[in-house]
Amino acid sequence: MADLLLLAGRGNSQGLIDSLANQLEAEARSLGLTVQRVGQAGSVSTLASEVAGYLKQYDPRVLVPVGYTAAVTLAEFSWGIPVVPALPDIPGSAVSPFPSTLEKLGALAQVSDFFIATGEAERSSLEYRVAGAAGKVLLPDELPAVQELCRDLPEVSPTRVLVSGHDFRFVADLVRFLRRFTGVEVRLQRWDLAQAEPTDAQRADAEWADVVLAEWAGRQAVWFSQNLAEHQRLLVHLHGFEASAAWISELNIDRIEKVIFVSDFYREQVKQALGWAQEKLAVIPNAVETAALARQKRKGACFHLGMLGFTPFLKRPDIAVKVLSLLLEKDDRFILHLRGKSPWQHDWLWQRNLIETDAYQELYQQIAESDSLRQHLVFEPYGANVESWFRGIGWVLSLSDRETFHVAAAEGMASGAVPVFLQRDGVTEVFSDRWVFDSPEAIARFIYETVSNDVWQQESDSAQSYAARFDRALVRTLWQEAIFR
Amino acid sequence: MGVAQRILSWVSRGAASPVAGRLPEKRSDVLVSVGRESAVGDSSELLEGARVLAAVMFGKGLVRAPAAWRGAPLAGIVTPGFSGFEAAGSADSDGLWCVPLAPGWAHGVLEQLSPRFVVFETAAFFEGVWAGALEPGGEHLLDEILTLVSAAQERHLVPLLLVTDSRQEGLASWGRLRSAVPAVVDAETVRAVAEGRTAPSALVQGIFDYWLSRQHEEGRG
Repeated sequence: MADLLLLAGRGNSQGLIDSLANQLEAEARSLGLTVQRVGQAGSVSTLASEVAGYLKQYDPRVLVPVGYTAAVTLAEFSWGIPVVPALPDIPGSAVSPFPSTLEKLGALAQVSDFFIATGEAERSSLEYRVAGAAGKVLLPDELPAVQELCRDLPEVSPTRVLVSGHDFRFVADLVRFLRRFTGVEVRLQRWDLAQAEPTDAQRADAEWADVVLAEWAGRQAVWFSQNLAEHQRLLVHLHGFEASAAWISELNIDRIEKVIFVSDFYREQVKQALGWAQEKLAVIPNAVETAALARQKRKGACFHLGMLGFTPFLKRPDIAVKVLSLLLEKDDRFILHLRGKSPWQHDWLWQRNLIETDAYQELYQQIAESDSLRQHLVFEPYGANVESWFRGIGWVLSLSDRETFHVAAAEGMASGAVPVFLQRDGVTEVFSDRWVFDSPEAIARFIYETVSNDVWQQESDSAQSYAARFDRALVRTLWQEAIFR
Repeated sequence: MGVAQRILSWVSRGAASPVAGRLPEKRSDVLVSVGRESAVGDSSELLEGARVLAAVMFGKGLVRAPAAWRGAPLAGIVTPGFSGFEAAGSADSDGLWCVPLAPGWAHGVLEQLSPRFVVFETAAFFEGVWAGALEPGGEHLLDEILTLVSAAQERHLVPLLLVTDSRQEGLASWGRLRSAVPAVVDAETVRAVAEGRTAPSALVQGIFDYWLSRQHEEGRG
């Protein structure tokens, strides 16, 4: 049995393909992995059967096709083992692929555990442009992530897991992990937040499942808790806002095996409000891809403050702007980045919630009227290149009125951005009290003194070390225990 | 051998593969994206977003924008020093202005102004609000800049790329930007033309004239 089957494909840029295959082979061997290297012998039309033969012959744990054509061709088939395409020869170029290439890469991302790109610019571009590639693109010297795919997983009984929800942002790693277990099938079911009843197709998925994971305690969780078959199990993953949603009391707790919270704070809050039994409740923190986020910071990052997600207003972008104003009084190199969807991109918010709308309008006008703020504030759209974006961010702001496990803050910390939290319920339990402050003035003072005393790097190292506790490997074990008992 | 036979022969070559195995099943499952999905839209989405943001910030018709923006001969992405001219972003000695554009609202404002030139200064891609635009992680900023360039060209405004830095050399995104802007002027030219000029608008006009004359000399004008 080989750990890796390294298949050097054929292509117009054969030199690039062979060179990357050589590099990967050397890297893998230096990690102690066993590598079986083969070259594509036949044409594209016979590649799948050729690879099926290699799989039978060498029984590898991971398939690594090197070359765009080979990777895209093989992505059409189910191989039963993780696939990690290496892409040195993307048509057009990695930083500016052809539109048809992007479509094919999107399909490839859906079936691949990782991509391997040749450099930082290529990686960042793929993550930005290819749907589903975010955080999954490795450089050739980052093969330890692939090494993890070669580890043996415990045997579990055959299980069909249905993950149902409106947003799968926080379960990406879990889904990939579950798909690696022999005999485990995973289906993702998109269920709109406002939707109360399933469609016919959703009903069929519901019947198919052995275990249902309701990702977010939305109305789908209510429906499953009221319609679960006897042999089925239901887990509900509650993130935060659902705790105060109108439908939460409609959950039939008797049919729910576990409600899984992201922090103790919400567990205690819900327990007190609804009187659910302790044994029904568990806490699993959100996972952060610490390895994917640990990228070299851009020069001058210590002057860039980032707020990832600034809607709804309870995220307090106004306080972020206040912190920036205070800093600019001392040093005009500071820049604030507000990244994410704008308030008018949420139907439920803009012009429907007048208090929110007024608050945002006032904030935007304040910025517009200030020469200084206009030239030190960046509005950036929601996008997938977050891991690379954090390269330029030295501080991650977490100023919400209520939010315990702020994933963006944890991601920022894993990237080496220093977090600053505004005091609120439940935040110290997750992030300690080291970076928690009671006012914008205290935050601005801390940021300015850290930078001017030249100790930003030490704070950055501490934040990164702290974020190790959110690493996906630790969180995976907790999910594994919950799903397979 | 006829065409059809040649195709059949080509297709059937699979059987000759030395280690051919049983073909695995084709994927049939409907896959839903997990994780942060790509949110890269087309340029029309970007333009629309910028229009809304500009309207919310500066009001319809830029009623809340600084009065001096209207009639400004220059707009663009420039450093505060603007290659030694401290006047960028404030009234210069001719009483003229350069409107410094920032990410998010740049296009929404530019389309309501009528500057003669839209200036892109390379040093501005490494500091300030556009820092990182040519580097990994700045893909969305580069998309915004490229959209700005093409929107300016559609309105027959002249985009000028002033190379006042060397850090962009070797960056993959630099090639994309350079090929999008026809008028690229190097630092030496900027310095030479700057001699004796004290206003950004005069400098940019001088640079453009220089670039135009060079195009004529090279037979491309």
